[in-house]
Amino acid sequence: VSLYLQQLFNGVVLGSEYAMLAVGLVLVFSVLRVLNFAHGAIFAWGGLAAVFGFRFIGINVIAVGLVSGVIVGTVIAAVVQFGVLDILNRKENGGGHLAPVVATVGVSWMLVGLGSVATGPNPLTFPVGALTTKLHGLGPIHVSVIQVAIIATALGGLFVLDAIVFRTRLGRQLRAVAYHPANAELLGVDVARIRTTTFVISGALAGLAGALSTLSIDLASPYISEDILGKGFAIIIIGGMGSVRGAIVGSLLLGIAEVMSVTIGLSAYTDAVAGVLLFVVLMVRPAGLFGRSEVLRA
Amino acid sequence: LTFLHNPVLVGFALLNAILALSMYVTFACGLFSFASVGFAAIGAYASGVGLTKLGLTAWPATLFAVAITVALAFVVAVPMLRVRGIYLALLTYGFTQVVQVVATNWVWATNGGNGLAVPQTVGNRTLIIVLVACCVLVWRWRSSLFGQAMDAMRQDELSAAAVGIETRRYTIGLFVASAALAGLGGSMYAQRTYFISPDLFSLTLALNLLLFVMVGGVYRWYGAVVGAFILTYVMQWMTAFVQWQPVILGALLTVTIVVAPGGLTGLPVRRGGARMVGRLRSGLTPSP
Repeated sequence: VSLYLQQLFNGVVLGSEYAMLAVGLVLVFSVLRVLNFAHGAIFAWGGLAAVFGFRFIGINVIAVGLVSGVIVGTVIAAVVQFGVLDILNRKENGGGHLAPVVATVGVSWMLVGLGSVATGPNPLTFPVGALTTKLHGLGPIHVSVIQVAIIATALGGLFVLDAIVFRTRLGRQLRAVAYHPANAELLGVDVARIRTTTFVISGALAGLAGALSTLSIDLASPYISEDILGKGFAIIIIGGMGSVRGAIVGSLLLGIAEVMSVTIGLSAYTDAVAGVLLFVVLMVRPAGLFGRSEVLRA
Repeated sequence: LTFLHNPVLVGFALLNAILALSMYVTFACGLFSFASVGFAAIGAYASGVGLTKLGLTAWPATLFAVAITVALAFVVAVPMLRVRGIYLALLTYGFTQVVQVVATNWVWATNGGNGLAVPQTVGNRTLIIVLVACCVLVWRWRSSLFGQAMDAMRQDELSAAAVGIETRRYTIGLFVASAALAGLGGSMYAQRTYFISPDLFSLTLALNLLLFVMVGGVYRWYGAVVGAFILTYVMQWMTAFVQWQPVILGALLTVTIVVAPGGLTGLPVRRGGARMVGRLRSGLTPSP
């Protein structure tokens, strides 16, 4: 039983990482109406930034990695927003409503390519001894400092986000834009500013998630982006596209399911878990767990 | 310039062109669908299984592949086409994922992740004939009433429905046609390259096809073919500095979208047309 309890905990840790990733994806999707294909690449860059942060600053504290990840995620998101998405948005019918989505695909390639140019063929690791791997007993299970940090950061981050979205003026505007951009604009919301803010917040979250993930597996590579993007997409479909709560539940579900697939001896199929889960949910509830179905009526 | 007539490369360019046409068909009426990749995988595996397990010869195997793809496309089209835009992109992406998972795990038919060796039965000459046939079909379709209805639907599906275009039937027909092209392309792929594995039909292929279509141009039917040919060679040429390849391709795609949304084939006549469409649009809809 304690093995399963332990693995359940590990699954929750993995799920928390996924949650920070998926929430950013959902936010951008519901406010900008853009499916951000560059999200996985920003995640990967967050991880690279964490390693670089440790190497250059030389203080081996988890917070250094996290801050580096957030900074890099924020900067990348701001550059993408101002350099690409904003320009497209200001065009009259800028190549149709799919143009920004396709543009993020291009951005994603660039980011991954730049990452591989910057790091070379091998994944980066933290300096030897920089991370403590000591496990602490907590009742029947063992936890590491990094696992605690992951859960704490995820919980903290999601609570702050929740507070912003539901308790501040910015959050009210954000929800208005997500609900109906044109109406929000008529009511005096600066839609362009809200879009920018949302995209940058999402980038910061992706960078943070990437840093946390790198800290827990001691490995950073730009090539994880496609994998993680696939999981992020799976999560937001499972949770229901556009639903933040769905994304969190979907993340935990996927994290636990992946870890459990290893526990019961199916480690070869871990990467297929997302696909299977996706398939099952789509069969039973095509709109996702928390989604409402969008039907085009003519 | 010997690489220009390297038969392997020419083969890849032709195959890419067929698959890009399949993706173009859905794009042309505003359906953002990655399903082409999944259907290409199904076509490739059906063809491979037909040749290796069912004892079919080359053309019957291809027919078998196209038939299976079309049948499956009919089944998934109805639930999938209830959604549009990004939702459709996500759903079709999920579909492609599922196909990939099945291809990895249904070992009897697909030999799993090790990949399936297929007897080589198709040469470049056959590919050229197939591509030309596909081009003629797409070209005739674009200039037919059906094609014009599609144009109307891409611009505004509700208005198209309001003037009596049966949008639902047309989109399903279009989705199935695109799947048939993809199945044909996949079957050709299996028989030309004599080896298929699940990771050939991943997100990477989907994104490559997207690149071909977008850089070639979505406003002309031959854009996809032009894009596939040029970019297949560009990618080959870039193996010299392979490190920078994704950076350059990504930049190419992004710059194309921002600067010339009509792609290469949309360049010469884009300005006047775009301006007129823009004017019409701003006259018809309240600008946000």
